Amino acid sequence: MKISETQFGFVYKEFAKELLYIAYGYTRNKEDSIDIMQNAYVALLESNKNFESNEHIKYFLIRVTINESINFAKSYSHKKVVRNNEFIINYPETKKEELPYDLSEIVNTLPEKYKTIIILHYYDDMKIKDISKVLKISEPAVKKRLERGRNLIKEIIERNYKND
Amino acid sequence: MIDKNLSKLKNDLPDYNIDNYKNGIFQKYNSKKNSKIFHFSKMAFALIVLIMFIFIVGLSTYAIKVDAEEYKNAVEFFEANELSLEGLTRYEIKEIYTDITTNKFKYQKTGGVIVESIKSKLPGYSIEIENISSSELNCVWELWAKLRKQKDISEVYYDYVPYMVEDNNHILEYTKYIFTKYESGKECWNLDIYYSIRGYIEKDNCLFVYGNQLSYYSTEDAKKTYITKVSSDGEIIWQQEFKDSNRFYKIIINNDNSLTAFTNRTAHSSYLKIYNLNSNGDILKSSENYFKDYSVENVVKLKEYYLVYLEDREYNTKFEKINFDGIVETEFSYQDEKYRYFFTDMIEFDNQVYLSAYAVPYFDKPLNWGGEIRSLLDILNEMDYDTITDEYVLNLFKDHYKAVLFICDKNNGDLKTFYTVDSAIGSNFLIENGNLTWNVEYFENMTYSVATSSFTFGGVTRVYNYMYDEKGRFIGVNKTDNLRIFRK
Repeated sequence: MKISETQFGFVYKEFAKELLYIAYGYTRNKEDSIDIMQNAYVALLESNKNFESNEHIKYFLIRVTINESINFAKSYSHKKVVRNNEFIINYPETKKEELPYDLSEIVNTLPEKYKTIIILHYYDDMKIKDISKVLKISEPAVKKRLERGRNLIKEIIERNYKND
Repeated sequence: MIDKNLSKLKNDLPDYNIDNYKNGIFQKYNSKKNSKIFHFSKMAFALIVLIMFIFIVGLSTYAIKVDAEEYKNAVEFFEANELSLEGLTRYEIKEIYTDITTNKFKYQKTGGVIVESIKSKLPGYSIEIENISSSELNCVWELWAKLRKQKDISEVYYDYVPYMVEDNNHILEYTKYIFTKYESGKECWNLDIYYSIRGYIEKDNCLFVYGNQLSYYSTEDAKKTYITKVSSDGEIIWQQEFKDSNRFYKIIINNDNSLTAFTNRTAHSSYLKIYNLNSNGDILKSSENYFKDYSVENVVKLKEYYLVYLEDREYNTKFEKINFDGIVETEFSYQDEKYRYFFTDMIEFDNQVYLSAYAVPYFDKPLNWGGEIRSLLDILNEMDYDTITDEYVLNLFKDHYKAVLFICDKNNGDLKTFYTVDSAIGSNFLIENGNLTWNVEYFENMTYSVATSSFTFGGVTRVYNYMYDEKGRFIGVNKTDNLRIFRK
């Protein structure tokens, strides 16, 4: 393990919540998001990388969280099928809100490249510049995707809920 | 509006107490680590098993391939050497192949296969292979190699076998011998002979078959000997009976087809009975001589007399010169302080009498135990049996024996050494194309075997032809392919 115990304590305290939010954005389930966050830190402990700064550690953890979340989402849809077959339907937890639609669910239906940026930006309050660094794409590209994501959400809402 | 609503998503996030999740990370990490170690161990084990499996499969495949190749080579060798594969297992075929090609000749089934092959070309060929030494078997193999080259060897061949019947008491009894002529392996004719055949001589398209009275238990019990003249188409021309004898020392077919036969008196080798027969087999003259304490070992008919070679129980030797009336004229012997001489053949050539002999170092102990090899046995008995190598024994023999060619004075019997060959024994004479050929057997290999009942020393000699012209001048030596079994 390249990271020291002290450093680990610091990065855990600093970034754990952000990771939980990102993971939740994908999973919309508290336990699953905790599981994903823990996996991200396990990946950090297993990593042989020499990180230049805590910022690099953060980007590494976010990337792992995103990947874990996407993988979880894929495996979850599979589990859902199995559960359906067993007639045990376990829907994700959602909080009731005033809106006539579940925005988080709509976000979840977006293509990955838009969804990730929406989650990072709105769940984690991450700035365009940081998203650009995490995803290793240009800032204009992040902006464009963010814009495109929003538009897609708008389209979905207008298409599905305009009568409501 | 959308942006505003999206910003509210954060409000829906659950409450997280991150201090509760930290330990879970280390538990997961350690669990994964152990799992990895276990997984690695499993992988390593699986890898080792896989490697072993591949190794074993590879080894087995290689072994199968080698075995198949070896078997293929063995079968090709059998076919090339006209050996029969019949009744042999795959393992035995390979063993015999290896045994022969490495010149070991020790595998128990090798002898049988070679002898069977020889029999296919030489019907009636027989050799006791039970106690055969490897060097002797090598000799038999050489014979087979020679026979294969001589494709016409079996053009004409004669064979004789005893015919036995069971009497009322269920005892097997010899009733006759069947003498058969083969041509190119096929039987031409066969003839019933009512005595025990001991041999035959072929001359001018006729056969002179000889033997002794049928006797189940021992030849010594036989009271009569016989000679039968047989035509080329298997008809008996005449048969003569010789009373009170059971062994022919020699039969000579003279140029005028008259015969001279030398027999013993029944079971008594100190007697020499000489019979002169005309070409019709009638006995014209006979004589008998008794040589006290000596046994007749050889006899030849020279132009003016018979020369008899005698040996006593202590291997002392002497010659008797007997005229054609059967009267002993002269007696002479030959020995010196250095050697004892043993004579093997005698011949008259260009008015000279030649004697073939071999000499061994003089040994002052009686030779009645061990004979000519007594001194060698004394040396080997002092040694640890396991340390005695074939090479050592061969060298002992080479140092021990010397072939000697003598010229004998026709009148007084004085012997003069004419030629000697070290590490060899003098053998038989032949007269070919007006030249005298003296066959000398040179020791090629020798084995010492105290466990074998039929011999103590078993080996092989190679025949060399020493040739002399009509004036007795040495004209050359020829190494032959003729190997002979030597046993003592």
